[in-house]
Amino acid sequence: MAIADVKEYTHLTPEEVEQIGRELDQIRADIEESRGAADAAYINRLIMVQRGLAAAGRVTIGYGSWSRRGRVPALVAGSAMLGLAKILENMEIGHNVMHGQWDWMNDPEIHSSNWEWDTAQPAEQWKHSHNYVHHQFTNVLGYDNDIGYGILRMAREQKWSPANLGQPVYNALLATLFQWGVALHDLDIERIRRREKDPKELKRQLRQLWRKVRRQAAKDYLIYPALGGQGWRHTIAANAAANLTRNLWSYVIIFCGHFPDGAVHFTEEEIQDETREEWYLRQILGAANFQGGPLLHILSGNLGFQIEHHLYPDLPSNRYAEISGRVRALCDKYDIPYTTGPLHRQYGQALRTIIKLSLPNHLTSRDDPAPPERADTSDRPAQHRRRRSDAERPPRRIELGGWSLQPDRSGDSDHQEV
Amino acid sequence: MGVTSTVPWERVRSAAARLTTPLHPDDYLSLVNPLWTARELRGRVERVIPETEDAATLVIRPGWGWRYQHHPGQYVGIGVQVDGRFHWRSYSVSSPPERDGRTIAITVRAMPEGLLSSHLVGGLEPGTIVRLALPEGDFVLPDPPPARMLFLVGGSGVTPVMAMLRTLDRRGSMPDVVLHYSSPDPERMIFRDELTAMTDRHPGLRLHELHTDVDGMLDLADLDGICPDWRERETWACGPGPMLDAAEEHWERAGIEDQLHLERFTLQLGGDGGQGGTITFRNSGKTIEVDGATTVMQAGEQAGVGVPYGCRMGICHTCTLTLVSGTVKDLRNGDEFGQPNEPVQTCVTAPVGDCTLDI
Amino acid sequence: MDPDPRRFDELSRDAELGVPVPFACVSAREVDPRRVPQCALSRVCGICGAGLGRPLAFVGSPEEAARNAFHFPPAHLACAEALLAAYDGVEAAVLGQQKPLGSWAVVTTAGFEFVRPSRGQVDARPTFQPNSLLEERRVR
Repeated sequence: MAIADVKEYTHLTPEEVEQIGRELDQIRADIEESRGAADAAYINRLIMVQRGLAAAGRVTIGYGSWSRRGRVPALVAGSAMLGLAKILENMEIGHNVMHGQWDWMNDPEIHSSNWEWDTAQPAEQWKHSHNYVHHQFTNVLGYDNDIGYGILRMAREQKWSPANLGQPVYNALLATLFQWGVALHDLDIERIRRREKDPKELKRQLRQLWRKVRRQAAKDYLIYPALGGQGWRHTIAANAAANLTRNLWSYVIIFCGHFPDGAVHFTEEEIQDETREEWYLRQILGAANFQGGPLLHILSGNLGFQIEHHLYPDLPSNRYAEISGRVRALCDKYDIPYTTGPLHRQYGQALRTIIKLSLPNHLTSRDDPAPPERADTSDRPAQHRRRRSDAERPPRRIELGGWSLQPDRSGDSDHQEV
Repeated sequence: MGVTSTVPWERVRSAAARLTTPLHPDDYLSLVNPLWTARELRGRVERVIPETEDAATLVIRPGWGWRYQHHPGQYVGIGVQVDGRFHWRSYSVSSPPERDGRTIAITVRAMPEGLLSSHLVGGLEPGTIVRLALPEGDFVLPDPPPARMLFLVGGSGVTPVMAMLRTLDRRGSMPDVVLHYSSPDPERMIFRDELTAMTDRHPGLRLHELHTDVDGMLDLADLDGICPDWRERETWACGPGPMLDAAEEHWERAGIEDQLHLERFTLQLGGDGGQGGTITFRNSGKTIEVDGATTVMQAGEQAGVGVPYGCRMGICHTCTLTLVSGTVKDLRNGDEFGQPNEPVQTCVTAPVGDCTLDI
Repeated sequence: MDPDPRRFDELSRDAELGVPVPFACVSAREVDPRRVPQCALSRVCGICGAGLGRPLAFVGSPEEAARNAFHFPPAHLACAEALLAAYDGVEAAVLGQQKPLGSWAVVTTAGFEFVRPSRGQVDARPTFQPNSLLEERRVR
């Protein structure tokens, strides 16, 4: 079920919404003011570590290719280091730098305007599809392409078609080839299918994409293997393994961001005339965190703090942990759902949804989160707000259990269930 | 990194780039030695030589990509990371263009509340990596130099002229040079000893010192007495804005404005001045009466109030204070500010009538 | 909204005033409210639509510069200067301004904060607040 009005869903009065906005603004201002040497040191150290790992990984793989002694440990270790370097570069460094999180330093080498990240997708296309489309229209059905990436059905409101039956397979393919899925993302398969995409723009993007893909693929599968002597096959395998590691890991982390049950979807109505406070609320409700120690968070690009990242995409990621305490407290105060849990459970829920939604709706049950109930408002009659007619209201919420099917709709198996 | 080299470095670099794409090979090399990168120009501070109480010369060793062919009198940009942020300023290069142990030398005078200059003079540790921008500037000494020259300098404006003089000294080609140097007092006069030594070595070089704290600012009407044939000399002037404005006017009236070469680091404060008035600095209780061409900042300094400042050009907003009452005028464009408790940039505004500031 | 970068000299011309229409604008007078967040988040130039460089430039009225809150999206410095040169002499309220401007402020910065409008704000437009100001200039 998709939400058309965050205020109503969360049972907040306009004054409360404004107050929440003010408190979130204050958190933002506090962090902006305290950005300084420690933060600069963090990103510089991280970049040094990541580049060191990449260099060490390549050298170790090279050694493993050339020498027969210690070949297998060298290839495994080298591939692991290289995979780790790619993960750090893509998630904690590249993604965050391109969001502008480090522009405040006025450092020409760490800036959103010229950072090119180590994966097949060109930075410019990522900044369009992710920074703009995903972060502006987060979880809005029909606008946010990340709801399924054009190939997976991830919301019940999305129309089912027999092609969806293959979803578990597409999901596995996407996971292993995640780098390439991301690379094609900004082309916007959905709009190409509907013939809405400007062909000139498509051509330009394809050319840009080809140039990047060519260089990345040549690096891992042509040039380094060429330097690997007789053992060039081992270099290719090690590099492919490193890429696969990065693909699987980033796929898991990213799928935990918006697909666990607690992260809800929105309709187009929500974003019409949306104020800053409502935008904040949509970001909180549309994202899901996962729990872990500091190392896990660095390895996952601090996306375990997805909610904080969505509230403040351009604040330095090393501050998200600190911010989350304050955001959590704020949500508790106003009974706003704050979705979090262990990594395996979050991913488990995402996987379950992928499998469930490969089938038509009437064959499966809903997994929507319990709607927020405010302790002090549960007895308050809804009449204090002007009652809207059924035509104006968003689709009715269906309660769990015996209410999961409308008795008189049992015949409509391929219509969208509301 | 010689200019003439048998190794085609560009080819090597672009081949290596295929291994490091999307990064440059420099991005990895700089992990080993921060100077081994031409991607963004950098330098390492080798020594900080105190010149006077508030000035120091930084000896910097540039990294890859640096070209040592700057002309004497040009300036170079330095970027220093303070509290996580990079701050950039331009400073004159005081070392002559020959490579001298692969370093360049820049002289900086500390402004009391100027963020970057104080840091550079007092706080920069040898070994710090700074960012550099290639030398630029049109304030250059022609080669060969003219037979007769006049230099009018004030304060830290001596630095580009210093580069020129050192070049002439080193090449042994010092022609007839008159240097008029204004400074608040002898102790604050940078390079004083070096200049005195140079005048001993070169009979053609004559130095006039003016201590403005005691004797007041330079009055260009006195120029005839200081250097009678100034109208026949190529003149280079570098110093505070008002001094340069006065020089420009003086040379224009003599009809020889082409012979005057100016180096302005400060913004042109043109436009009509305010009408002047009495400025009250509320918290310190000090007051001072000034004319319409004196900025609030200058007034504060004259009155002995510690007015904060940075670039002194109306760019960085470090000097912004609250105008409690009264009106001030922005000397760059004539805009007036007169709302009660309005924030104003004191380095570019002058009073229009009496006003009060919250400092 | 699709990315649609174009060279400055290839921008379409305004039917009424004959001046180039920036990427973020519907016409010389009006800014397209959908392009504003696109430029902010995708980090593309509000004038030519291509990726931003360093430093970024903001163009606005002297009041916007004094308040450090601009309404026109960030741009390349070269695009900003070319735009103001092209608009020189135009006596109309252009680029989303409420009234014709006597002089424009151009501010360069390394970064900015994008602030969405709050409920109850009189001016319901998002603003750009430079966070590492480099230089401010007046044009005209």
